Amino acid sequence: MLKLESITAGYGELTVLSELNIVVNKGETVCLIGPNGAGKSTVLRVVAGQLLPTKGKVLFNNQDISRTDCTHKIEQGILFVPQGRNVFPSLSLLENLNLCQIFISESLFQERLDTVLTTFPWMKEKLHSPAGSLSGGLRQMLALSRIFLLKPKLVLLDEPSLGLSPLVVDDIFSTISTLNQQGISFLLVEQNARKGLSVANRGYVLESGQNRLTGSGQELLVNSEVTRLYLGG
Amino acid sequence: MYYLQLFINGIVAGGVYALFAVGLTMVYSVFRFINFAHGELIAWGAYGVLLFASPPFSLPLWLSVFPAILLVIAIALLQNHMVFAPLRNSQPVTLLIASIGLSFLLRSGLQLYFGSDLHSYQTSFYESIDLGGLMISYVQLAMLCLSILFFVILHLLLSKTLTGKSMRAVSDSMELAGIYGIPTRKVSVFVWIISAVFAASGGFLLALDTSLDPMMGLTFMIKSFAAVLLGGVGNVWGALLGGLCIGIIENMGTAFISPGYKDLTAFVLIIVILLFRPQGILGSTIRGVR
Repeated sequence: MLKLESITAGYGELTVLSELNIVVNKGETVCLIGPNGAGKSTVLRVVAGQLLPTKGKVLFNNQDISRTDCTHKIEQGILFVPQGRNVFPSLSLLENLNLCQIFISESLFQERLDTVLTTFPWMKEKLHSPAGSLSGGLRQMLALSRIFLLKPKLVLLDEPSLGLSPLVVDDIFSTISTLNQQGISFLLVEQNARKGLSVANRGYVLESGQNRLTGSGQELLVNSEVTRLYLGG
Repeated sequence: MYYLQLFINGIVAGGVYALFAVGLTMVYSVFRFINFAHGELIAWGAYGVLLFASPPFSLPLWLSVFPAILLVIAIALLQNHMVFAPLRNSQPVTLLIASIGLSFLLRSGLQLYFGSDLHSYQTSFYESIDLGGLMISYVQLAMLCLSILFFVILHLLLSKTLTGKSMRAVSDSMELAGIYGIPTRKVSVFVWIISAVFAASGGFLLALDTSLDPMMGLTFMIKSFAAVLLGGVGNVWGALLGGLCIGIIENMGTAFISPGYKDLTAFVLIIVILLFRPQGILGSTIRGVR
């Protein structure tokens, strides 16, 4: 479904990705792991349309989408959930969700909002409070709600566990698994490699912007090199 | 009674200052710079009406307001397109200085066409209503109604419409707004239009109450800047509060110091606010339009 063909990209003079190839098949969860600065987040930014590749192609359902912007990507079914500050703090929870109405109709929004509120019942009482008042975990769930509302084909998820407590991380990952079972593909970047690989069908190990190792999630979890380098023993 | 009269004059003037301040603060919250050419939008609003009310157009005064507002919108969009948009990735100081340069250009344009003398509109709209000793002119009444109307519309726009919510999102973070698929360019244009409409209408009403002078833009710009600082930079409701405060303080002040020093108030306030409460009255650590 998604295919990165020898992508080279970077910021100004600095080349972060060089000749990188990545494939995400329909219905798959693919996890990118690797040390800091390996270019994991940059991969997502290129696919999301935030950063233009200098060389190579991004193919989505065999269409070249390397040069289209974020708005266009969402219309085609690619949703990017960035890391850290991924909701608007001064807007209320409902208003944050309302922004999805740029892409879907009022009635569809109401219908899917019900699904969101069943999945995250805590939201009901807080719909009108500012998103800035939420804790990190709840904020991440609010950001993930966009997946329920927009029903994309592919979600690009950057460090969903960043700065969250282990209990909340489990919650978030079970939400991801549920959504994946509904047929939504995920391209996941995760610092917590063990957690990321455990939900992934396949994984890629990036190093200095290149593809070092690849294999199924389970294979990588038991691979001696990966274990030594990224899983802490 | 005398003080009450001054207080009412203050509220009326303050409402219009608030209109200017809100435009200034919205442009700041989206583009992160103070547009010093904002005063010239006010002055062009006032002179625009004069332009369309005199030959060769000779429209009635009230009808001239509409083409004048359109003219000011065009100026605002042009300055965005030709100056601010190309500079959008540079330092805020660069944008600030560009806007100062632009204000000189626009002011000189006014002087070139209309001359440096004082002008006033040819109208007989200066009667007043007597409310048990309090005098309120029709012009003041119009200023008051218009300010209230504009703020109600603005409130509905920001809190009820998708465009308004998008505007607030953009002011929280332009980058994240892009990721959310918000059409940031369209939102930018919209912010400039609101800023221009508010400036031009307020400029016309103030000129109707007093007179037209090519330097009027600068004076009102300083007052709205003080209002913005007072309310907290980037805060729409702070700008409303700040505008009202400036209006009331400067009018009440005329009871104690000569009216010739009326404009002093804004400058003194700017210094005091920057010294003691730089984040403004409603300012907080969370930025953005509320």
